[in-house]
Amino acid sequence: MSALRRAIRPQKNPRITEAASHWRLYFFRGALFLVGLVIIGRLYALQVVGREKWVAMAEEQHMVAQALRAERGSIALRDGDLTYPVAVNREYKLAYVIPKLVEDVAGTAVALSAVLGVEESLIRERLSDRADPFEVIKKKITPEEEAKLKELKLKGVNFLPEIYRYYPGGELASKVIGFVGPSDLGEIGIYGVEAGWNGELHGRDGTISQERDAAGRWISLTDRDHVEPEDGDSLVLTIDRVVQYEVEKILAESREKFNADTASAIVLEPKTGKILAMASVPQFNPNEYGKTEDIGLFMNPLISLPYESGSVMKPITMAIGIEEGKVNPHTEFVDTGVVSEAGYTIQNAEGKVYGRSTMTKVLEESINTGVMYVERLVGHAAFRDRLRSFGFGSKTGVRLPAEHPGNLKNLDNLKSTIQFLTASFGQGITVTPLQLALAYATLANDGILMKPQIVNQRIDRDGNIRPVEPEEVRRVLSQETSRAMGEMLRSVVVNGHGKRADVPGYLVGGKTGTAQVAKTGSKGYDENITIGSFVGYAPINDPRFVIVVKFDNPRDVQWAESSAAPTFGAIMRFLLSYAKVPTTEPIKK
Amino acid sequence: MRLYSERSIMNTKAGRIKRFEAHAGAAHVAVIALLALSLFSAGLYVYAVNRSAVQGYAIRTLEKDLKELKKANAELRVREAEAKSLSRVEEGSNELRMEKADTLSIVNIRTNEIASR
Repeated sequence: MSALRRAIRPQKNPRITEAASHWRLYFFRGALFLVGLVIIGRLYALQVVGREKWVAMAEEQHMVAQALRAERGSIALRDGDLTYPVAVNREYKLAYVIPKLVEDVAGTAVALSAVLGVEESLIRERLSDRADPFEVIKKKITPEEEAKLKELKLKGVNFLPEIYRYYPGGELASKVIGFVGPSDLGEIGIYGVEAGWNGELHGRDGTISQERDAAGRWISLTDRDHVEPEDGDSLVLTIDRVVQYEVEKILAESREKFNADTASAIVLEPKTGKILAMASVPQFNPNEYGKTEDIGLFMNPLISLPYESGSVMKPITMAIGIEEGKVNPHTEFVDTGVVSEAGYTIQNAEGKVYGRSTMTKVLEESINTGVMYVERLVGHAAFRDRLRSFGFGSKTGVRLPAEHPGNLKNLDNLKSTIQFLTASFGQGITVTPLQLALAYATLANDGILMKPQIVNQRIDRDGNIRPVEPEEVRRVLSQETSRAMGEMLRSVVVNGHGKRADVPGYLVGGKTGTAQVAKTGSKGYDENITIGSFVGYAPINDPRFVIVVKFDNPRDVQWAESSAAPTFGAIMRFLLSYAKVPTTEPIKK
Repeated sequence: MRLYSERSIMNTKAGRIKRFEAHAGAAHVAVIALLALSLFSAGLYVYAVNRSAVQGYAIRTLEKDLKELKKANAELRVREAEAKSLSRVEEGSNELRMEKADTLSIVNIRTNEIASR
């Protein structure tokens, strides 16, 4: 039977069998090729296209990195030939507990509460979780608190050193120095020099990274990637600590006396632009800035809050008139007491009429119509350009944060004569007290505008001292104009509204300004609020100090000659004796 | 009668022993010297390592002291600044009932002059 089957089974064609065998081979090879192709493609995608991602992921798994914080530089004030630190790094201790090591929870909580002043229930709550490896009880504890706790020998209570920024001077110059606050990059400056010079003070953080094992431990035998941190520079400011203290003290007393919202002052060296004092009261303590309710106190109004300065702008208008050759100190004009323009009527203060007056008298009596006369002679375009040349309308470059450029936009339209007339006596345009100080410093410095300087020296981490040199911005006036202005300003103090700014034995010059304050939300000026200013310098024959004094809303006096002028006089009197400037004039007894 | 040369005498067993003994003595000395040198080197190495470790420890201690002193110095600077604070000085002068001078005269002392009539 089987033989029969074999006999009737069709015989395979050898050619067909061979072809079928080749087809399977080809199929197998093809499949192998495709699988290979997929593998190569995938490898390409992983190793070439997505290389960086996977390398980063692997490094994250295998490497452990730690930031090495650079030490922040300190800030100091000048103190004669020495320096006085006002912002330093200080080590404080943090008190913490390891709950599982605490034997007597109730007793420990009572003791900690008594010494550290933390609520007992809060401490109990923190001690209750025995599995918790670490619980902070209080940060920045005092050395006395630490000593008391160490005496008690409480089990499980430990201390950890932490570095904080500390301001040894407290409120002294706080609005200039500012303070630091936490950020992702460690502590950074938020206000004042701390913020304006943050890059120099902060330095450059370093890193250390190394491979770790499966348990996350460092493998000490592998290569270590180490970038050394570069500590920040320390700064010595141009501010003199004695001058700053005295200015703050005089301002605080005057503010209380005149019942003003704020009192501010700048003291500047006209020849160098160095700021010797920059103060505004009320102040805040940067060590406890979190307790300050009004965050507006953090702002430095002398650079950040522009205002319509009023009559202290008149000497600038007069200097422009003299520089343009349109008037001189003896030029006369006839005051009718009123100027009408575009439907507005502008009068002198208290409606006074002075008749025939010289330009010197215009400043002595602060005659509005007189400076409007000068502005008309100069011409709007030249007047605006000269104001800009004094630095008004642009930032001074003092390198403190939030500096305001002031506002001269009302002078953009040359056809709007009324704006130019009011600008000639300091209304309708805004300036900062620092800009005013620099403009008067230009008058005092033979017509040369200097860049304001707040940092006197930079000291790098190796102790190398790099002095910051004074910078000249431009010549604004001729020497003749600036000297003529000195004599006119002296005349204001001797014969005009600035008598109370005088210092016996010295030639003091300056100008008062009682400015109106624009209403918020509506047109016009508030009848009940004024800003009193006095700006001047001394000695006129060899100017050493320029001072701006400003009172916001003094309630108990009407005019700046009774508030800002005597305060200016008190500061100038102190400065001249402190700097041992010899008297040049006889002192009347 | 066979004549033996001196060389052939040396090749005798007794000669070979003598020669071996002479060489063995030298080798012995060499081994001892080598051993002594090794011991000396080992001792020197141990001493050097120990000294290096001691000095390293001393350096670390000094570095630690330096760090502590720097920290103490910084803290003293802060305390000095607090003590020099003008508001504090003023408080002290008030407690001592000191009066502020109304007028200030600056006296310039001329050089090479002890006293004047």
